[in-house]
Amino acid sequence: MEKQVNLLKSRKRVSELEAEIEQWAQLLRPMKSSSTNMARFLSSDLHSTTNVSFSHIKSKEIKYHHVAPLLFQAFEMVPYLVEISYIGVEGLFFSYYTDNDDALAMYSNSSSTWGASNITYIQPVNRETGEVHGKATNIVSNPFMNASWIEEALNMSSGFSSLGTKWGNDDLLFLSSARIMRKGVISLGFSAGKITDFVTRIDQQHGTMSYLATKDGKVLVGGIQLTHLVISDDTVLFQSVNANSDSTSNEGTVSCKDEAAASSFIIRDTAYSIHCHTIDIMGIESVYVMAVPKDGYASIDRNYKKKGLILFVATMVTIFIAFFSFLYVTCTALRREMHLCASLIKQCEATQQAEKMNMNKSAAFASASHDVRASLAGITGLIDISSELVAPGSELETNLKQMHGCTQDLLGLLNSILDTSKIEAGKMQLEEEEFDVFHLLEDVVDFYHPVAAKKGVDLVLDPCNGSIVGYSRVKGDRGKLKQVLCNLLSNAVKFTDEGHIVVRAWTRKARLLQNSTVTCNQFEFKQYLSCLFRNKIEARGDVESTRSIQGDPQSMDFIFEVDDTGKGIPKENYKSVFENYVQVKDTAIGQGGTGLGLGIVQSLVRLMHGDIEIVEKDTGEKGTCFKFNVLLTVCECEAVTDGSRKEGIGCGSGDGMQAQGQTVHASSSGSSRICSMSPRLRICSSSPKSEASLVVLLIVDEERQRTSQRFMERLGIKVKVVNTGKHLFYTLRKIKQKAKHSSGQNSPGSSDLSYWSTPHSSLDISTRVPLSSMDGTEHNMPLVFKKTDIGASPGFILIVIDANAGSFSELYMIVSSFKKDLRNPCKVVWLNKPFMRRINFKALNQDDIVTSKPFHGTRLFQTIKLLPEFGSDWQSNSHRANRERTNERAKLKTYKDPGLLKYTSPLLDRSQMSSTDENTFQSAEQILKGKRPSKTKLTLVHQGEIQECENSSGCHKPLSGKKFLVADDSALLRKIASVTLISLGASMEQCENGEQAVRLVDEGLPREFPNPPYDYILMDCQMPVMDGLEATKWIRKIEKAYGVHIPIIALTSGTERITIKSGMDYHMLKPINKEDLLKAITYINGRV
Amino acid sequence: MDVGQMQRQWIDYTKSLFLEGFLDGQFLQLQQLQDENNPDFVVEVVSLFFEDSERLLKDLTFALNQNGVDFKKVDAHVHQLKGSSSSIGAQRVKNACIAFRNFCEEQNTDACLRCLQQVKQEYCLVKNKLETLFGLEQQIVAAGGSIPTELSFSG
Repeated sequence: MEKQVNLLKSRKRVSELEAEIEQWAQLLRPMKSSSTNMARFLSSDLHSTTNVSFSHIKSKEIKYHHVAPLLFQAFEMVPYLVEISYIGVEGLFFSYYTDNDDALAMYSNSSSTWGASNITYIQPVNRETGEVHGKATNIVSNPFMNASWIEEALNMSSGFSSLGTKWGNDDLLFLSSARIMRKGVISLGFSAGKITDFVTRIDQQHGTMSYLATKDGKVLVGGIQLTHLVISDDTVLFQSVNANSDSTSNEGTVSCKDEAAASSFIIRDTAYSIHCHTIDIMGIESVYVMAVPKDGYASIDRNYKKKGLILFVATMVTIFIAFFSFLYVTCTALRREMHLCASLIKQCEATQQAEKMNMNKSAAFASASHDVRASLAGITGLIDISSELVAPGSELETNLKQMHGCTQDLLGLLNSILDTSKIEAGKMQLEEEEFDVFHLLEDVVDFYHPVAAKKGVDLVLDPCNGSIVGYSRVKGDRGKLKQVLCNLLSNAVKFTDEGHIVVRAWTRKARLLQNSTVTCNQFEFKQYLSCLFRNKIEARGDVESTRSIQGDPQSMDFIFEVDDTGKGIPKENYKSVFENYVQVKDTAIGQGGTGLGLGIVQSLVRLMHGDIEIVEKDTGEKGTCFKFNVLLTVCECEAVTDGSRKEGIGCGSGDGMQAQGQTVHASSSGSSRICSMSPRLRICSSSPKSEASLVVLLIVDEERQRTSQRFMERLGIKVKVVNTGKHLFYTLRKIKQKAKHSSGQNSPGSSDLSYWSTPHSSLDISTRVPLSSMDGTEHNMPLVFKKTDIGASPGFILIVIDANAGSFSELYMIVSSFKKDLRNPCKVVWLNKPFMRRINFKALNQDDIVTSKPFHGTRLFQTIKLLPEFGSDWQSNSHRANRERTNERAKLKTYKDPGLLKYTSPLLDRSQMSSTDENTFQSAEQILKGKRPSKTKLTLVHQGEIQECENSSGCHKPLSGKKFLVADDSALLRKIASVTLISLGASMEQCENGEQAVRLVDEGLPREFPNPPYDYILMDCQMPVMDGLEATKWIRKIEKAYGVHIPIIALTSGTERITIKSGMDYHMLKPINKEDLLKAITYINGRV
Repeated sequence: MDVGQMQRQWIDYTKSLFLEGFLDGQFLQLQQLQDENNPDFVVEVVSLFFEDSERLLKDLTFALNQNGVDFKKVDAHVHQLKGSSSSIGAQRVKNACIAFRNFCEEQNTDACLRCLQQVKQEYCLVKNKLETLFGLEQQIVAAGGSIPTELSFSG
């Protein structure tokens, strides 16, 4: 197929070539005729001249003049013409020809015949005029020696064509000659080179080989190498030859007639198809043989095709590979993405489900806890009721008490769980209120103090630098802060078996965020301005107050530390203890709890914008130290006015009964601030005359001793610390000796006077001066306490003795011997422990003070206030103070009713209370304790009233002791009936229908036999299940067996007809009322 | 408004309830039964009455709108309603119930429906009145006063 296509292609190609050659041959044909035309033109011209004078022809000039210009014209004008010649029969010869671009003329003017040795001349020609010039050379050889064509041309009338050679050289020429009147021949020679050029050009262009030859064997172009071609009668016989002209066997023929015929032939291993054509070139019959390489086109084509195909295939393959790899990669990516998507969706669903479950769980948890709490409340209530009913001292009572305890524990647990769920739900919110933070702290500490004391652990409140006292009036969530403190303290108490627990508290300026610095500065500036303004008004250059105001007064950081010496928490658990449901295992064993406590604490602290952490202790130190801070708003103005009011009270009393002052402060427990009294403590400026007061501290617990000492020393009080009774003895003796030396000059009277000279007004201005705790410098500290210059006085000696430090009698002996003939004023504060009767109150001096509360906070401040520097007026008014105290004691007795005793706070030492009977000293705060639970007192009164009611109601309750059964389907009527009956003193049971009534009677009869189970039955007539009439019938049947008759009163709505037959004893109209009921009872009783 | 004024207003309002026939002596009885042991007795009883009545009225409406009216059932419901209302002294509801029962015996559906409307109306009226009364009581208690126990007229 391909071959055919190739063949077709080559044929087409060949035919194209042939057509081209043919066309070219056609072009040459007119040139042949041009010679005949020329001959004709010349002959006519010559004829005329010959006729006129024949002689002219013979003469060189004539011939020259007539023939030569014509020849020259033709020579110049006819294209491809390289030679033109006139040959006369008589031997005249004239020719122009070109030789290497020079035009030459050759002529011979001898009139000799052909073949005679004529002299021929060659002379160059001027190309413009055709005139010969220069020297004429003559050549001996005759150019016409073998020119047969001249003869032939003379014989042919219509011109003759032949192949000849050029004059001078052997270039092939196509000669076209024509005769002129049988006298001469004119011949035009065209260069064959032009034709061969054309053929070779075709060969070069198309890669073919051509062979052009005349039929008589003259080769024009021998393009086909190594082949011997023989042309014979329209067929070409060809034979390949070697380089040395040895013919080989390879040969073939091709016909030139049949145009389509072609023959294949191999030359130099290349197959050619040979085509042969006969063409007429200027009248010369010629044969044109063209060898077209067979594979030529095809091979070129195929090569190109192959290359193209390979390229194409390669490209396609590359594209395919790229495409498929792209597809593959995309697919893989897509599949992976799908996988990921699917797993993501799955995960999402799982998460959602888990979240939902968790939420549901939380909700269910919360609601369940809530429900449990509700029922727990019910149980608590029931236990309370039961414990009232039960005989005191019985085993049941103790059981009930234990049950009560258990329920309380349960309630605590539930509350913590509820708190957690609340926090989880984000429903926990701060309830801001104004409260006294120091008071709260003291309350909490005091609350846990007895618990800790029971375990032998001392719980100490350390106010540190006292800053918390200065800022105690704050706004914040009191309940939550208390919860946090309580939780931490209860933990500390729970896990500490020996040593002490210290609660430290101080404040500092809230750390402000960096980005709020600008506003802060503005604020400070404003504050400063306002401060200046204030200063102008008040004309008080109180630098300290300015400084304190410069800080942001609105919110302060309150820092609390609960430091115990308990088991401690392993360091690696520091973080996890704050997680919910986590308990430190080895320490929490046997302690119970849900492990929610600290989690809640943390949440609460964070809610209050603070944080909680465990402070790392030094190695060797035991226990844990929890430190947390909360942000609370300080209410300053409130505090100031409050303070001034207090001041007014404190000083307005003129005589300044210190004891009374205490009562005033203490009794306003809810709203009073501790600082409201502490700032009123005035420090004596150490005038050269007066001796500083001395405090002797004998406290068993080291930590408490240290704390108290530190606090007092910060206030500038001289403190002597003693550890044992013996030590106390020596110390006191030393002091006494010293005092004897120094106090001799001072008279107590002068101090009295100087005291009164103290202007009270100056006290009034003492607005609260808060500590600038930011500085942390101790010299600011005493500013809480206002110093007053009270002038010279003998050194006041205050002895604080822990009653547990030794045997009381011994201590008492030491103290009393010290006090004997001591000129210095002296006061003794006895620290008693709750639940311990160490102090013999009878023996005590009336001036001595006994406190059973922990010696910190308020007690510490009050004790400090006893010092003259801080405003004690003991000296001048000691006798009056005593009197006042006796009054107080009288007052106390009035409070001392049994109800009060019963409902005093659990913290109150009962031994102390009972000791009041013995007419011993009672400190003011114990009165306070008695007063505090006002609410319980109220309920007590209420209960009392109830009892009274019950006792005195015998006359109003004619049915007391009677038992009724009420059967009615309407809850409304049952309620009315029950209340009516109870108001009449009866007890009752109720049921909803006749059937129940029958069953109750049936069950009651054997139980109560021989008494009837109910004294009366009130029976509604219309009831579902079993109506009143039928029920009555049944009851009558049943009771017969027991021989009793229970009166049944029918309740009718007036429409039913009740007969005695039905078994009813009486009937009355609904609704039930007292009179009707009593009437019915009377009727029945009368009948019975 | 001070407590005394509120107490006077309460007395006036209670009086008007009696005079207009909404309540009768039974309500006074209930008030007398209320004491320290049962400080909310009246309110409890009345709210029980409200519950009962609403349930019964609903049942009645349903029963009367059936195709074949079960007059026995209707009668039972009306009887109960009558009992309840007389128990708290809601006189006008009780009277309406009596009329209702008569029509029940006649098996007159149309009249029964009319009566039901009337009962409902009376119930609503007395409910509003009582709620107002309790509202007043609450105000008095909130202001720290006590509810006057003796009414200076005979019910």
